[in-house]
Amino acid sequence: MRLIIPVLTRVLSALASLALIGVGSLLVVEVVAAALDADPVLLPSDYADRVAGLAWDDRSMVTALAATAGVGVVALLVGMWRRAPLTIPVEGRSGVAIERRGLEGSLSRRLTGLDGVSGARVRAGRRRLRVRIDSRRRVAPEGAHEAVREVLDRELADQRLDLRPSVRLRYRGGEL
Amino acid sequence: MKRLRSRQLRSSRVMLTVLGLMLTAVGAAGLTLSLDAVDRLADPLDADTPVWNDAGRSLVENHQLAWQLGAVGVGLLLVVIGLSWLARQIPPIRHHQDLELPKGGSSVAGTSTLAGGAAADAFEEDLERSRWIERARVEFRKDGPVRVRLDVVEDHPVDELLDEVVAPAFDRLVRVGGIDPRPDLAIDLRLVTPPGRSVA
Repeated sequence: MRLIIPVLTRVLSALASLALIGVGSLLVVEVVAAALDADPVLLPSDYADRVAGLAWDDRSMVTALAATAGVGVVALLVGMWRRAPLTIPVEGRSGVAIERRGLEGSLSRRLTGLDGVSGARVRAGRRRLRVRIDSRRRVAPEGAHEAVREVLDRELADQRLDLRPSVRLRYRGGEL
Repeated sequence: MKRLRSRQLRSSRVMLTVLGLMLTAVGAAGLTLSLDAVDRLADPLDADTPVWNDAGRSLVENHQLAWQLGAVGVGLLLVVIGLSWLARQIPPIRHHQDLELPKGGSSVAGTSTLAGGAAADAFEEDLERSRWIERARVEFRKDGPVRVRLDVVEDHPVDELLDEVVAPAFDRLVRVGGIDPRPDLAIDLRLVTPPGRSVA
């Protein structure tokens, strides 16, 4: 979702803005044409008769309304989806921030270098830092949790970031 | 710069939320009539009559001019909102603002200007002399802080970087360029792997 939501936001925003321009232009053109007693410019000439005969329970009406509500719900969900921050402010330094993705990659690289750690996934939020450590060992690597904590504490202190880390360790025999 | 993109995304999310609320409300209200959940919401919105019924027609015809002006106004508003929203989808373009230097008691007529691009280049070059900075991007924008984006090696404390590299370089630029008043800095740091280190 971290990649999909920003892309969806951009795509939907571009489509919605084009739709607003189209609907607005159509409205202006047709109302001006109607005010001048001219035929419809962009709409079919018999659209008034078609609308006049359209019932609320007509299949096309129900489909159009359902599509409108569906698009609305999608736009609402994408607009309100909680998004990870692009930057995380540096404590005590006004105007200075660290880019989230760079930070996640850097921490992940450092944790992957630890003994017993085969992979690390780091996710930074506004206040929290979620870390998942993977190990290929059958038993939990001794001291891995403490080593990970130590690296995280040192890095967060060096970069002056006020993030609360939570660590999960997965190994072949289970999870800590 | 990331924070400019962040602002663009935030405004898009607000617009999507507002639009989503309106479309959902219209769709849901219409569906309640279409599916006979309610018989009528108002005289022009009656499930037992066609969509464009007599009540709706007389409402429009009784105030035709007002409806026409209102519809044109709404249409123009939609076009303006759509264009401005579309323009915000364009990624931020680096654009430098030239700096007008203070006369400092000089009796020579005219003004002295420092090209924003030249000041940015000089600042970038100074910053990139540091072994902790892989790449620097600087932008002197109108009415705002100087935006700086630095690719910095990840194993270096941020305080040292800011105090020993960025602040002295900016001091030099302000002093040599005679920039007054001293602008604020907005700095985005991107942590990168130091050269030569194995990523595997």
